[in-house]
Amino acid sequence: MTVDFSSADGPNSLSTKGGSDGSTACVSLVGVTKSYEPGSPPAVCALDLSIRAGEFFSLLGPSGSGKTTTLRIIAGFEAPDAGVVRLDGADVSRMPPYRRDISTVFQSYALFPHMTTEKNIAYPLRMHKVPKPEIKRRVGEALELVSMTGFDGRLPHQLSGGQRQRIALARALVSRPKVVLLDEPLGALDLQLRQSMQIMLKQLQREVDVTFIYVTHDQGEALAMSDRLAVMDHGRILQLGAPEDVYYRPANRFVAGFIGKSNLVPATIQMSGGRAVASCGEFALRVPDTALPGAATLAIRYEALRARPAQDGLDPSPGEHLGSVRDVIFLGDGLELVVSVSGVDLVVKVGGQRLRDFERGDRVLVGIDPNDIVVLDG
Amino acid sequence: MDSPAVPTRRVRGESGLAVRVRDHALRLPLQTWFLLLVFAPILLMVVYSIWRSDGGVTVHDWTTNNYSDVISSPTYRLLLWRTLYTATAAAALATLIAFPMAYFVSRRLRRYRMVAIVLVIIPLWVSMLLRIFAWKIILGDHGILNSALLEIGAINTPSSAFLYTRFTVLLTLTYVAIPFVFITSYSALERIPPSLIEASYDSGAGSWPTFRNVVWPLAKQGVAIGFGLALLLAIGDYLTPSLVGGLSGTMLGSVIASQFGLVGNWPLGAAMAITLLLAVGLLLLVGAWFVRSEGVLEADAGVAMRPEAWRGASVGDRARSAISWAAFILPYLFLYLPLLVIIVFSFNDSDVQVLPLAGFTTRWYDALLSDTALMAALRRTLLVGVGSVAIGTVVGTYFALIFANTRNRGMTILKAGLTLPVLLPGMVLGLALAITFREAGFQFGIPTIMVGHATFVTPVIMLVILARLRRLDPSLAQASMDCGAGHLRTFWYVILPQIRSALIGAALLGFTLSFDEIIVTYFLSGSEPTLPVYIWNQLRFGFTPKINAIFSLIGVASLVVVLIAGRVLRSELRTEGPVAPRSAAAPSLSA
Repeated sequence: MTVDFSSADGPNSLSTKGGSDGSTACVSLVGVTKSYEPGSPPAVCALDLSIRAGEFFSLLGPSGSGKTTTLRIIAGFEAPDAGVVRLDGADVSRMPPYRRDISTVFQSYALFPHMTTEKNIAYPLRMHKVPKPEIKRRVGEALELVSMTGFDGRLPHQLSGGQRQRIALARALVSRPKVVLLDEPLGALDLQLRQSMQIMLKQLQREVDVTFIYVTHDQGEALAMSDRLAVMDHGRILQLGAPEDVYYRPANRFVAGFIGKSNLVPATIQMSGGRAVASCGEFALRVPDTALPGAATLAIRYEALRARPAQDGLDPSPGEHLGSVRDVIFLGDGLELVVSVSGVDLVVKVGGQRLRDFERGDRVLVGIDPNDIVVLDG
Repeated sequence: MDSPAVPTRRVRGESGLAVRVRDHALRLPLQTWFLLLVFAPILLMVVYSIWRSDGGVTVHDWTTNNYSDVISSPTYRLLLWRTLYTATAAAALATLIAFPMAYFVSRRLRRYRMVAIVLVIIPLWVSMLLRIFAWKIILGDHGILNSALLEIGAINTPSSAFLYTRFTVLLTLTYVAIPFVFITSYSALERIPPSLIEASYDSGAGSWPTFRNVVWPLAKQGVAIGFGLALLLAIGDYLTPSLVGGLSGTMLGSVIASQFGLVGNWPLGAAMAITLLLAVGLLLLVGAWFVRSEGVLEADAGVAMRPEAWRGASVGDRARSAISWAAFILPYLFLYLPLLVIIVFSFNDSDVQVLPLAGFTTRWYDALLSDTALMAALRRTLLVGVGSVAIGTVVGTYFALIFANTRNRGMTILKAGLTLPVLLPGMVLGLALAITFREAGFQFGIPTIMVGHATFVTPVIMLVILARLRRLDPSLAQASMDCGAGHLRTFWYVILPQIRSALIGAALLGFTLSFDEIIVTYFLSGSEPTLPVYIWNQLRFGFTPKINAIFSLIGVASLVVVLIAGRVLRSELRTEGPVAPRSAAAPSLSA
């Protein structure tokens, strides 16, 4: 592996590229590229990313999207082929992981199997040559922080998955690092435990006020916990923003399809009298007036659509379209209706337990607020 | 944790009693084998050791004189001490050489990792006698080292200092032991999840603290097993001391062997063997106490370890890198130089094996075919190999199937008992079996050698197949029975196709062990020597390059067999499909 840093190593690049957000950025990546096999598509491609001090930041993406590689580059387990990694403004691209003020919570927890819980948590402090009495005190505090007081004599194999998770977290936090990296830490836990750990992680992060960078493929986790998140695919960041922005304003088809559930409808946008109208097959929809004319894809969240039974003699109100129910899916807390509107299938989420309200073949009126439609290119 | 690969207790309508009776009947062959071929020989050896020898005839009088002879005689005490000391030193040296190699391979190599591993293992497949003999050619009075030194004028007369010393014995034993320590060390290192090492770096530990606190504690047991193997091998070996040690290199093994052969005092030999065995046992227990470990290493689906990305920047890093490369490369020269020497001299047109080379010839190879005694020995060797492997494969597979299904304390002990012959020093096993066969009134010859080989070939085959069975998905056998197949048909149609590659590999391994075996064979062969025994007898009366030729051929033949086996196994693995996942929730590899 040959790595060329000559272009990004100098002090110049630091002031020009990273200077703009250097004051608040805790971790920043500039033009980071990494490929594992020569010739194969890079795992991470010209990535620019800047993470603020104290925020809970998530990297969200499917398998193979490059999120774990990004995390490993920040941790120092991989060196970028090109680009710079900065920690508090200082270039750490070639700094070995044991000199970086960063801790990782591994997907497999990576607790040392031959050490007790106490020794596992004490390990980073021992390596940093912290005096013995202080180690003892801080290990106790860390155990308390993750509600594992009293488990200090156990070996890892004597702990449950959730308990190991907490110990791994305690080990990552005990040395008070600037940044904690979490690599799908909840992946191996069952659903209920995962949800309670989400709450605990978020509370913990606020409490210790440390930057968390969290890698996950679970959009629910990312939306629930993050201050900001980046959606990644094929080694690139496709959208970066607050969970609400990313959820309601997906920037492209991938994000719209990956986060939440959206109808993606091909359409053509036309302007008539200053108003934007999208024609999808045989019916037309009002869309936000900022849309540009031409071919587009409309992303419409399932829950942004409304449906009510069509009654004879009752005209559709403006913005409503007549359709017929092709399928009804029972979700527990609601229904999903597949409604065919002039040949276009739209999925409508209906809240509440109203299974008897809709049946296959029913005629329904589907309504939508133009502001809930996101117009995407092509 | 994992359920048995082949469920045995699933037949409906059987009473608990019938099941119990059947289970006991199924286990009977295991217990019989253990009693007849492991327990009885050792017991008889103990009995022999308290009998008396009178001018070569064993008299059934109880006496403790043999033991008091062993313990009180300064010579025996010296030999016992020297044996343990030399063997420990050889095992330690081999560990010092092999562990850094294994560490380097596991941490620094990716692409050529398999090549590096196979290159260390290949010498194991080349006759041990050959490898020892090679050192004799290199270090002897008229050996390569001497002739080279004469050539450059460093010495005026050939020096005997290189051969027939304790150092030569140590060197050769170390040489023989390196591959064993390497294999066990490597597999121990390989089992350490990369994420643990990353977690250590992440915690602020540099290379050395990580090694000391994480790598070594997790690898030390595997290294200790390799060390123990090397120790047992060195202790059980009486060939090396006899061939390259001379008088000053004599170890207890040669003396025990001579009690059986020249001296004919079996009881004294048995007493020495048992004393040695107890001493070794004690040594191993102490060793095991030192490497006892806590915690359970669990499989981990982490990213494979990559060479550390930040390496190679500073001068210190570069120097360290150069040293570790040297520690990795140099042992290969040590491993292969002797083999090369053998082959080169097999084509050398001269009766004496000295430098400079005299010219090319194939006459040593031509001479082989006309040597009827040698050809007879070769036929016997092949016959013994095929016979013992046939026994070992059938019996070993049966045993493995039984062990795959039952896990209780008694069976674990029985399994250890069956495996014992593999762990006994060679001449102890040989002596114990010889005593047993003599008491049973057997004629020594091919059948006794065959059974003798089966005692260690069978457990090896059993362990290989058991490891494969344990990795099978248990639901496959259950599915077969669910489809209406009984135990036999389930074995034939479902289990056997899946363990076929393991079976072939195990059989080849067993054959190689048998083909090369000499230490046990020597005790059991009577007037029908196998090839290694025949050659060994020849070696003691001086040697011609004909021996080089036969060894070169054997070496090449073993390599061909190994390569073919490797190819068969690899293509088998492809058709075999995925093995059962180790844990149900193996997290998928992301990004």
